[in-house]
Amino acid sequence: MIELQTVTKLYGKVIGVNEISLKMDSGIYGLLGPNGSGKTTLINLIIGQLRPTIGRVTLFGQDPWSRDYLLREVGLCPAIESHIPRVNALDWVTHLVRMHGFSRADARQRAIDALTRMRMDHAMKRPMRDYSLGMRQRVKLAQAIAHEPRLLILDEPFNGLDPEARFEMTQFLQQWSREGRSLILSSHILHEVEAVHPSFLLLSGGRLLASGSPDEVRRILADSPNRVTVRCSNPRRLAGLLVNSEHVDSVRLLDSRQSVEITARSASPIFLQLPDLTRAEGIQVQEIQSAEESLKELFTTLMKHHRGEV
Amino acid sequence: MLTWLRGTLSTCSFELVRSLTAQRLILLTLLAAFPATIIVLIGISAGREGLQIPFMETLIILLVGLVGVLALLLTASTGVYSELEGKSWVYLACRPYGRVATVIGKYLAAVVLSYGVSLLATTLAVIAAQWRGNLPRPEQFWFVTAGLLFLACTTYAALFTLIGTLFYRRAMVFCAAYMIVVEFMLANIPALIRGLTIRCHLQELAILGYGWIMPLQEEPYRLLYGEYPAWINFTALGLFVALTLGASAYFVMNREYVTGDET
Repeated sequence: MIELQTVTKLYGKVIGVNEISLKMDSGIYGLLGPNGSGKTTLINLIIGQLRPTIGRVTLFGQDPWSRDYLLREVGLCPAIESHIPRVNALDWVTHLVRMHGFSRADARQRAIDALTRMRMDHAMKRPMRDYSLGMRQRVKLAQAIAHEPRLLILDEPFNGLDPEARFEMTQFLQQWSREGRSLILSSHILHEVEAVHPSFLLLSGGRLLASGSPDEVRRILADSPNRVTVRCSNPRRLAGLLVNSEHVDSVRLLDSRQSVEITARSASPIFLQLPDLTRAEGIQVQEIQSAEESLKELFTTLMKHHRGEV
Repeated sequence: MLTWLRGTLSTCSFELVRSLTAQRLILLTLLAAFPATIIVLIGISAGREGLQIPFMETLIILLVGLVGVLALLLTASTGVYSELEGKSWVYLACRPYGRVATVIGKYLAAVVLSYGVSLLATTLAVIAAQWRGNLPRPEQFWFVTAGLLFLACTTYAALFTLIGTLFYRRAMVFCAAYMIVVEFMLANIPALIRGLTIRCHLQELAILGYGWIMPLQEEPYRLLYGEYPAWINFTALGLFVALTLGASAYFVMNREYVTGDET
């Protein structure tokens, strides 16, 4: 579906993406990376809005920069907030669908269907300037799916959404993936992307640090040290118990001995052990914090891998 | 081709609907009323005798021409930049042939709007001039002016579209500079190069249309007027529109427009 061959994109002297080579067959992909990592640049290269400075990009086997018609098969929900005052969502989405070559009547019907699917049917004739951020996000998604593309690209779709809207967005993405269509989901929040079970592409500093299924990415991280902090009623006793565990590398008392920091090869065995240990010793656990789920931590680890430090 | 055509027409109609706001309509109506207001004021100051016919005709043409250019500056030159500034460019550019359809669709919308305003301005100006009884054949004058304005709006809109595509951040400044340097200064140079200006051909057609008699036997008039037959003027203006719009389409297709914070 998409292939990048040693692609580099420069904005003057600034590197957008750096020597990325990857092949993406049809499927669900999570494009993960901190802000400024090159995610939007990579998306713009894929849809032919940017031309690679070095290397080659193909979309459905052709160059997207010079083959504009390929965009018929792509739906894009960009991250940026646009300002379209005095227009209602129905007119805006209809206009964008018509630009795909549909007749006025067909485009209007598709716009209504897409907005209804996004649960915007009650407000689609209201000016968009009156919408909340969540409503605008749903309209953005409606314009991306109304022409029924083969490939849907969502750039930070969870930005600004409240928990309920996030849940609905996740449900929609899961439904989309069940329909057998392709999806590229760009985000800097790991657990949001994980919910749709994608293959991961991990970007940082314009470089592709790792790619693969969640299990494959976890395997990469398996040998990396993880830190778990437990705040409990008797941290000294818990530290004494854990230090004997074969999974634990080190333990340290923190916060005036109110909590214990555990360093381990993998956090999962610690989580499995903790309930039995604390129950047996009557230790009350108040809080458990794991750095494993932090994307920053993940990328720090991957960068160390990339530099050969781990 | 059908995709592009539908995209272009959709852009044009969307832009027209979007621009029909109370604020914009008031602004355009005030602009359209400007020539009539000036003519009434000059007519009042001229007193009972009124103004000479050639002066009145020239004044109307100049004023409605100015109105047309101002309307075009507001609508045609800002096509690409307004979308980039509003961060909506990416939604249009990610459609098949969306960039070209947007540029050409906005060009058509600019022509419709500016021509509408210019036509209204002409009508009001002719009524105002007629109120003072200064135009011997107001209907014929109106029809010829309307025809010339149509040619002017389509041609200058194409020019402003090209400038707006090339220098989108300072489009209005570049358009104004072009009008002063090329269409005002260069068009007055009695040499072959003035044939490259839009004004030269519109001026030639105006002389034919209004039936003005120029003293072409005199050297300065011979060099500045009456050089080309009508068909050459029409062809030159048509070619100008085709070339400038073609160039706009080429540049917009082959240029990277960075629309937001790249992450």
